[in-house]
Amino acid sequence: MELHNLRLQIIPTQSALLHEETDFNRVNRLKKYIADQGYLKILLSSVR
Amino acid sequence: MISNNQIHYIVLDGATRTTALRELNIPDILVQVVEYGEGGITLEAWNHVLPDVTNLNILEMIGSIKGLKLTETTLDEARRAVVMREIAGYIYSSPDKILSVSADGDFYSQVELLSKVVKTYERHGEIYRLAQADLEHLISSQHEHSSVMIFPQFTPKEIKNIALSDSKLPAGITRHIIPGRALNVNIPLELLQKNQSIADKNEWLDQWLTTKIVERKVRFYHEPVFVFDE
Repeated sequence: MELHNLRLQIIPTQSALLHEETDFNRVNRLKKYIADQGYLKILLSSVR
Repeated sequence: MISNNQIHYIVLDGATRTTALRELNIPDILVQVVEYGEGGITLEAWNHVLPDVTNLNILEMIGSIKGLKLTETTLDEARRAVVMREIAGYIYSSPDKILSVSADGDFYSQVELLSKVVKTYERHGEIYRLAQADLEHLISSQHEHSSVMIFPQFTPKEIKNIALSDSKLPAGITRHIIPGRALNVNIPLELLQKNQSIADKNEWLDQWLTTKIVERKVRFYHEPVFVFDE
């Protein structure tokens, strides 16, 4: 769906490539948050 | 981006979220897709104010990294060399004390070197990030301050190449400014976890977004805004 150039899309997780490292502690905190809350207000900005 | 006959997406912002969901074995993720290099997307670099640790000489620690060369230089020469990618970055302590940071090898060797440098100093205190404009102000002020690690202004092409390689930049030194960023999109995690085709999931997403539009629950602001979280 496109709205004023807004393109929201669901993609395979494995197709998302990172250009930067991630902080182990921050990732673990977020994993715990997701597990506790059961949801995540998630939005990733990506490029094709 | 297509490589090896597969469509790939480069995560411009959200590496922590992507990694967390990947490690939780969530098969699919929701993204906002933008065309890189278009639509006013700009790429800047964050610089790091090094931890001010009196009992530890951070510069000596950095200098002891295997394969790294710290060389005294001038600001003009450091700026030229970093633009030409002859060095990985430089450390600015004062107008008279500037050290270039480099390693032998190709572009990716320099990227890996940056990662080692950041890992060396981030263990010893809090790092403050400094935008490019603030860096210029700091340099022109001539005031005494902590040393600053200055990174290259990477290009979108370099970011794409790094994403496709095994070398990764240190966390949080790139800063993508993306106009029209969608906020507070909240869809059930269960949908992403479902054993269902991507096409079906995207059909659900289209219907969800159509409903939001019909119910006038999507707003677009032409101007930059401040958002206060609930």
